Amino acid sequence: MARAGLYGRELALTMLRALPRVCLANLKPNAKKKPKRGRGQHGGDKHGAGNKGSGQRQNYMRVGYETGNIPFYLRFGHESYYKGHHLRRQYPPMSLQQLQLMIDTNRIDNNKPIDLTAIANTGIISIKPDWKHYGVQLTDEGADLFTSKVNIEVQWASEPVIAAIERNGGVITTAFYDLHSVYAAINPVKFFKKGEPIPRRMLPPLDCLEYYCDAVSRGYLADPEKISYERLVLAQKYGYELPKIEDDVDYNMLMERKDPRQIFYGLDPGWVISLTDKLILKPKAKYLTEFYNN
Amino acid sequence: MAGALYSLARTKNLIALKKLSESLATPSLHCINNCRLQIRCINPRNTPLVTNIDVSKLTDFEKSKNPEEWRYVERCFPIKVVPSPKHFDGTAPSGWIPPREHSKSHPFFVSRTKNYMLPVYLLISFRGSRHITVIKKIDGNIWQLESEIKTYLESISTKYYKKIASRVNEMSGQIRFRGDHVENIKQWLITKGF
Repeated sequence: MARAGLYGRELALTMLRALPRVCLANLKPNAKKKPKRGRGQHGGDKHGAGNKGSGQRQNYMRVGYETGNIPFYLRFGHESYYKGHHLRRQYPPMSLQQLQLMIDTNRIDNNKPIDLTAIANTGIISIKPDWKHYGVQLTDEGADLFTSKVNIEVQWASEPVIAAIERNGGVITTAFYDLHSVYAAINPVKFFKKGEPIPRRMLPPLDCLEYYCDAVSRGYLADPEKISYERLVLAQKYGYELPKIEDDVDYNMLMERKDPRQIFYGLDPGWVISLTDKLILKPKAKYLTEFYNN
Repeated sequence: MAGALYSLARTKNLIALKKLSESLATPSLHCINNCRLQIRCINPRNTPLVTNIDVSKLTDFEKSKNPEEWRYVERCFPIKVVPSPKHFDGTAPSGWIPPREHSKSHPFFVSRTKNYMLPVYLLISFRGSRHITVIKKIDGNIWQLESEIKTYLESISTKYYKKIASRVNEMSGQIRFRGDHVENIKQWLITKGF
C-alpha cells in the first residue's frame, strides 16, 4: 500500500478503502441485558441517604454544632475586615500597554479625546455598574513602551501613569462619574434610545473629593494653573522634558475638557437625543436650565 | 344616589347598574357593601388613550438639527465591525506584530483571530492543577506543525524531564500541549511569520 508520507485525513481515507463494508454478514446483535430489575427511581437504592443513622432518618444536628465543644464559629473573636466591602467603589484596571494596543489596532482613535465612552466602546474593557464599577483605573504596566499622544480622562491614575502620558505630550484628567452617569457613559446608544434627558454628573463623595480636587492627581475639579505647575514638577521628578502643548498641532484636541456636570463631550445635561429623527431636544424652561447647570 | 345603586344591585338590573356606575365619576362610590362592584386596580386595557394633550402646559423645548452638535452624538457610537489595525513595518509600539508574507511558504498555516491576534490560549482546569495550551485555527499539515512546535518546546525546556504531551484534533484544526507554553508558542509562530 502506498501510504508512506501520508498523515491524518489522507491516511484515514486509505485505511477506509481497505476496510470491509458494513453488511449483513458482519452485523451482530447487541450484548444481552441484565435479567434483574430493581424497583423505584434508581433501581431500589437508598436515594443517597445511606443505611441507618441520622442520614437515613434525616434528623441532622444544627449547622455548626460540634456535640458539646465550643463551636468553631464562636471560638474566636470577630474582626470585620471586609465590613462594607460590597458598597465600596471599584475601578477595573486598564494598563497602558492595553491602551497602546487599542490605539495600534484602531480600537481607540487618539485624534479625539478618550473618555469612559471611548474605552467602553472598544468592547475589550468591561465595566459593570452593578458591580460598583465607577469607571476605570489606568495602571502603569507598559509605561515604558507607551508612545502615543492622548487626551485621556480616566477615573483613577497613579503618578507613573500620569508621567508616562505627559512625557509623550499627552494630557490626563481624573474625573468622577456616579453610577447613573456610568450607565449612560458605557452604552450611550442604549441610553439615548430610552428617550430620557442626559443626567447631570454628580459631584464626588467626600472620601474622594480631595483626590479629584488635587492638581497632583490631575483632578477635574483642580485649578488649571496648579495643574500646569504640577506637570512641570512631575517632569523634573521623572527626568523628561515636558513637551509644550501650546505649540502642538493638536492643541484644540488636547485642551478639550468636559464640564464637571457633563457626561458626553459637547452634549449638555438635560438634552434629549432622538436617534431616529437625528434631533437634539433642549429644554427651555428656566427651572430646568437652572437645575441642569448648577 | 348610593341608595339607588344599592336597590338596583338587589334587583339585579345589571345594565342600569352599569350605566349608573359609569355616570358616577368617583370610584369610591362603586365600593358599596353587598354590591360587589369593586374596582381593585386600573386595567390599562380599559383606560382610554390619552388624546388632546394640552401642549401649552408641557415643558417647552427647542429642536436642534445642528450638524456640529450631532457630530458629538456620533462620537459616542461604538464601531460595528472590528477595525483593521494601523500599518506597521515592523513591531507596533505595543508589541503587536502583523502577519508577514513568508508565513505562506510553510506546509501549515495558522490564521489570526477576528481581532488580529494569535489564536493561542491557556486553559486552566481542576482548580489550577492542569494547564493546557491550545492552538486554534490551523490549516494544512497539522502533524508537521505539532512535531515542529514540540521539538522547539523540548529544546528550550529547562526541566529535567523534557517531554511534552500533546494532542492533535485534525478535524477542528487544534493542537493541545500540556503545560503553559503560550508565550513560547506565540514567539515561535511570530518567527514563522504568522
